[in-house]
Amino acid sequence: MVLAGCSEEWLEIEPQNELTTAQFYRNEADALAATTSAYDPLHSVGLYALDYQFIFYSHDDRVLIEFPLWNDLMFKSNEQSRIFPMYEYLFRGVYRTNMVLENVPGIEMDESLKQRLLAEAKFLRAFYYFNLRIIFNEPPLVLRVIKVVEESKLPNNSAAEIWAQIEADLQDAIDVLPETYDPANTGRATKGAALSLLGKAYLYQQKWEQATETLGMVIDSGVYQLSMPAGTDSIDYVNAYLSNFTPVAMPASNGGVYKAENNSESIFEIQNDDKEKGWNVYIGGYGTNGTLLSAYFSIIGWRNIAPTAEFVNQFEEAPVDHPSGLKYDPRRYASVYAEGDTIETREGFDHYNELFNPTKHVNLIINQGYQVRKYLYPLHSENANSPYVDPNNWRAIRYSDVLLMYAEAEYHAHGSTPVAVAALNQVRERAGMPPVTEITPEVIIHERDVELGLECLRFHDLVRWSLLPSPWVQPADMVSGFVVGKNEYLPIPLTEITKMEGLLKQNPGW
Amino acid sequence: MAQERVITGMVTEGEEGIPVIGGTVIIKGTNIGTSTGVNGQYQITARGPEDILVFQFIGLSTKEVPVGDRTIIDINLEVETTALDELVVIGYGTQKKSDLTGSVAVISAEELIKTNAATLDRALQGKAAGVVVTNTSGAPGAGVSIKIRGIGSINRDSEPLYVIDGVPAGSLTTLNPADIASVQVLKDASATAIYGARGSNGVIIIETKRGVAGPPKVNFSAYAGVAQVTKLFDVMDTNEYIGLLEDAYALDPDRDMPFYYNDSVRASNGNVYTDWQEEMFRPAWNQNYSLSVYGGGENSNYGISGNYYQEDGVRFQSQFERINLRATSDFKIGKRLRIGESLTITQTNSDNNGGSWGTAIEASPLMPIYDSTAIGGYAGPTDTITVNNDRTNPIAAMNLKDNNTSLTRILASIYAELEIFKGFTYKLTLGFDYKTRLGFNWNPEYELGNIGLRSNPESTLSQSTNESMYLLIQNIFTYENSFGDHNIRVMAGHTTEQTNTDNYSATAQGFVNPELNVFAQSTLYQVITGGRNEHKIESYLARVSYDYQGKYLLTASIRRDGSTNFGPAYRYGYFPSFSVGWKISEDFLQQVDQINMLKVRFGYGATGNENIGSFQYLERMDKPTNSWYVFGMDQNTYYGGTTLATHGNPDVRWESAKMTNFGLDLFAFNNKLQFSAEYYVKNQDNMLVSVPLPTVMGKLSFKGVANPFVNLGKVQNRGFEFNAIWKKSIGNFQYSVNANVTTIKNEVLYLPGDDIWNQSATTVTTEGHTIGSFFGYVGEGIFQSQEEIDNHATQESGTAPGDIKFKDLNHDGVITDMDRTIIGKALPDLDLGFGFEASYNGFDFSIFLHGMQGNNVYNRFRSSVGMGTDRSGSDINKLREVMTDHWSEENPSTTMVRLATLDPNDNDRFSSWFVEDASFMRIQNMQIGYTLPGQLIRNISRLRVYASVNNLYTFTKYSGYDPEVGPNFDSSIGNYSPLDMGFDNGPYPMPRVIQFGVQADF
Repeated sequence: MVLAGCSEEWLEIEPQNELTTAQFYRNEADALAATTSAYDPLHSVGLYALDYQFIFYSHDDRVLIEFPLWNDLMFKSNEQSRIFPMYEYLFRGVYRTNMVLENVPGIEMDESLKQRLLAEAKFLRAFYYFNLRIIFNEPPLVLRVIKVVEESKLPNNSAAEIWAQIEADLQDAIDVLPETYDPANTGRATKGAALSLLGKAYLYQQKWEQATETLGMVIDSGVYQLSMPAGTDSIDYVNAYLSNFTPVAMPASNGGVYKAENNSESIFEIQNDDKEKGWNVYIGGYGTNGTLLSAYFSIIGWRNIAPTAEFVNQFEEAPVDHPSGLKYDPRRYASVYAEGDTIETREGFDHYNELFNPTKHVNLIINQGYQVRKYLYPLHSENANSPYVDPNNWRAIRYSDVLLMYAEAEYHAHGSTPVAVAALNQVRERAGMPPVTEITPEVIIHERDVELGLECLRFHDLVRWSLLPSPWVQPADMVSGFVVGKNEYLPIPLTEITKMEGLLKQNPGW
Repeated sequence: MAQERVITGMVTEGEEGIPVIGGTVIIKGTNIGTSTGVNGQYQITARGPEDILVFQFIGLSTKEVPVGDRTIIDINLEVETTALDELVVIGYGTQKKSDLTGSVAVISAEELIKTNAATLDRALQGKAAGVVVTNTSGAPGAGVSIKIRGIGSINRDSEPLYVIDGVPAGSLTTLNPADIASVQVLKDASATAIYGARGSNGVIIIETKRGVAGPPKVNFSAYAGVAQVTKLFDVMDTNEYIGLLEDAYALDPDRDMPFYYNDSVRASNGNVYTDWQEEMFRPAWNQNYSLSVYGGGENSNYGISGNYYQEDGVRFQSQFERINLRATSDFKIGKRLRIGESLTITQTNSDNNGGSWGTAIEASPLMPIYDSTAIGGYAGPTDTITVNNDRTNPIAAMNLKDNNTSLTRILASIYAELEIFKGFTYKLTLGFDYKTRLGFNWNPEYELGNIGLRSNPESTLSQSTNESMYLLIQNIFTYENSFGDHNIRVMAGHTTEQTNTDNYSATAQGFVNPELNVFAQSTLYQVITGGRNEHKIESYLARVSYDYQGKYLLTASIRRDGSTNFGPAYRYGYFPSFSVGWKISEDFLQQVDQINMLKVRFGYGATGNENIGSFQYLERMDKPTNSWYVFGMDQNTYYGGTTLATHGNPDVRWESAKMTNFGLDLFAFNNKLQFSAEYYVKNQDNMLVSVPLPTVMGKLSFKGVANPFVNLGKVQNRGFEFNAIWKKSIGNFQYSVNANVTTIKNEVLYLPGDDIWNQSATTVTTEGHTIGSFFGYVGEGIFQSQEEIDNHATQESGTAPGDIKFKDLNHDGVITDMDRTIIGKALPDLDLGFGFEASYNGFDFSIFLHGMQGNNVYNRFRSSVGMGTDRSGSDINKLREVMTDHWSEENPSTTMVRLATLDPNDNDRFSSWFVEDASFMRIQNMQIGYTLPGQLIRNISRLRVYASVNNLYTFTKYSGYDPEVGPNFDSSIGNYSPLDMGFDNGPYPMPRVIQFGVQADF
């Protein structure tokens, strides 16, 4: 036996730890898993678990960032270590949606479920491309799975081509996606999400008519409502709004609560696990079960950011007869900590119930007297196990945003019409702030500032409004050099440009 | 009984009459025997005049002398085997040293044991030309990096193949150096091609000791010693630290010194001063005991040995322990059959709880060690004591955690050798290597201050099990014959090898009682992971050695390997080689008496490296936990996603190396001088390069490890090797000198696509340069005035006099990342070993030096604690020389930067400023011994006591702790990374070790 040569089969072995592609895409479970993998990049550190906020907090003129060199890096150097993961994860998303769109149609399974999964993939592809378009300008449009390196050398596609693809994918998705899901499937792309993203895509292209029409369909669907104060107490006004940024329901004065994640005004939300597994999950890989926003930015974390005093000054004083008796627009209290506020971290945790003190709770290098509260409050309190991994979902599209985008599109399409005024006032009414009588560009800018501040939308708004450079209110040694015609977009990672062997052009100015 | 009498005498060897120490004297046909002492003297009781004394010593002729009526018998044994006739173990056979045509270095047991190294791999350092051994850590039991003839792969393992008693089994750390009989290093392809797909990084063949005929020889040896760090970084105490901070903040108009640094506040905190380095290191003890018995009779022999080794680390909470048991025997059954076995069982335990030296240097001296109010009892960085300095308490985690690994290994082989007819033998070898590695990691709940997230809020236990089983079946036929002047030897064989590994690990939290850190006591969150792997190799091999009159030598070999690491298209590889030699001294120079042998040789061969991981040829799907999402209102239901993990490359195949070797061997002056010189060129043509995919292909891993491998890179290693040994006796005085020199030139000849970067983009692997060359800015001096800054290319907005001036390499007037270039390399140009030994009347002395030249090291500490600027703005502690010598207008230094609370000029960027010439020459070991004269103590035939110092002194210009810096371990590939060599990040320090030992033969 030992003398005889072994047969060739002896060397034929199968992987025991992984499936090969030949063993996959065979049934409904495979189709579901493949689609899930297309959602996965959303909650990665390269996107909404950290880097997206890191980059767009830094770009936000309402936010100061600690690192003195950071803005220099941001606006001057294209060797930027955080940009690369973002580009990579967006394309990873595109790749995985393409895997679904190519492989799932051939699977024998329930036809309506199959069509829904394909529509989800199209929504996601549009979502990734929307970001690629507004962040990286004109990257290649990849609509199939590339398997051979030789076929991967791709040039830029024009903005028009990318927009057209986003619109086409979303139109397809709108036709199929359901308005809502059963509770077990919350978090999947809905028809409303696809309509909202399409409306936003029109808005960014200044296709006002289509934007009005599409966003109007979201409003008319009746699926979404702002959660209104249940009483007249100050906590009602603050918490009705604040619950849009917290992982746990916020109390109402009547003993009830304001639902937090996936509530009636959430249109598309990045889902994070509420039973997160701890810091090690982040260390172990470039993925996490929750976000790292609290670890980086909050009072218990590294406090890398702080709001500017200028931002806080945007909030109007509340009318003297405001039912809550608050001095300012209630949204100010939900957005920032100011002197006099109490920090409510988890009991037994650092800074629990301390009185907010800017010299103690804000990074002194960037201290202008305030600290960010939105999204970073309450410091995730559920799990003592992993205080630095935050289960909070990131609300990528909120109904308030849809209402304000609708008002803006309607204003540009037809002027300050009653429907435009009504949409904007709906947002103000929830805060108990007096209605406006007329829409002007300033009114829209202001309302987006106070309603959507610190949500990483401002930079993109300023770019599409051509309002940059705004007076960057940073301390003198941190003034960044926003250059018109360059800094509207981030640079495409150099390594990617090199790999495209001259076909892919860098963004202007980089 | 009356005729019984005591015989004494002296045993000497050779023309010079050198005393034979440890020679055997037995009475023929009995078990009565003794060994000779330090002057060759012996004493034995004969039963009568008919008794015949047998005198034996390895390498000397055996003599039988009838006792007769004599009481004093002096005897001179002739030197039987000269160095020329020594048998050298080559792959699957042996060859006379003088007949070697390939490049093979031999390291003897005596040389190895003299190093007093705990592990065999460390003992190899500097012992053979072409073998570069680099210590990677001074931690107890830590491994080393061994490179034979340069680096031929950028992916993972460029480590050689280890063959222990004929079994190709990795890892030397489980062996007891005292059990080793000899080590041979096969260097060139004509020697290693017989190991085919695993031969391209060289082969190290280890033979362990076996019994020889004669009475039982008992040997006991022991040593104990103490290790200490050779130096500590000279950092500031509390008063100096505060003084320097005051100066720094005074220079900064934008930042005020934090109130908490004030004297009064510190006084209220007890004016703490903690010297963290003192708290971290200790003088540490080590001990080693070996006991062995070897012996045998006419038809069998045996050997048993045991070893216990224990070493405390110089850093607290680290230690290594090894228990080793070994048995060997050989039996002759009839005239044609021999069978035998060797069995080694080893258990090692190592503890290493961590504790970063870098943190100990940078941590605030204001931080107290203990805080009885905190969970765990240790203090940490706080916003009112250490303020900006968020470096953790480096002692706390070290003392609180528990991290250990144990390894159990059973290495066994059995052989049966049958002489079918004269000259034709068949040998079957069965090999078995079983390993279980258990990891234990306990990280209890503790609080460390309130800044920087240094606490561990939840006790966590992780345990892992890693089991591997290797089996070998090896059939070898050998035929040997002479036809007149033609001598021929043929070997042919077939081997199958299979390795199965199985691993799993689990992590749990929620321990109710932290005293009970077992899984049964956990209540929360258990991660369980694991996997299985299989690896098989099937090979056919053959070799022919031919010589004419022993003058003209030829060896040719071929091996065909099939490996499961490769897809069906490229599963089999052929690895041929040949080598020729000519003993010039047989044809010419015969009249020159001084020359015993002069030989020139040439060899060429192809070898491979199959160690690229399994299934690279297949497209594989990722596991669900690597891509998942949460759906549902409950927000904690996971849905595993599945997507492609790896783009396979069905064409992936061996990394092959083609090596040409020229050699010259000279034995002269009655073999007192042995010299060899070699030149080699090793071309790696199919180096596997992981092609970084563009992101549009859904680039799957941030690090690129999941990218497909293609066989496209070309790397060349070339160099000279010289080896010389000189041995001489003058009366009772004997000495020997040996020296070896290795030159290495490593060059990347071709890379497909991009340059290859390490993860931090500080080394580049690019055509025309060494693998893993340092890449960064060029620091050309210190700005002395604002005018100088204005006249120089624009650096940073905050650049001020006293900052580093970086060179504008592309002359565009701005310092950008385009101004980076290659600024050094970690690989040495030269590796040197030098040894001297002498003995006189029982005293012996030896010294061994090891050095490298032309290697660069990136000194990370100079970029942090060695500078007045502070990138993180976290007020880290600094070296005293920063305080005394930093740049200022009064002290316009050209070597030290200015003082500032931040680093506006980005002085600490990766630049040539911190890349140093780390050439060194080290007194690696020095030993003084004394062998007691005569048989002073009953039953002890030989007793040697000695004192030894390892790492005695290092001559170097390098300013860090140790110029010998190994490659960084990359956990993602489970190996040392060839792209991350030469970074001095404050590894576990290599200590100086003083040992006292005793060796006794009974």
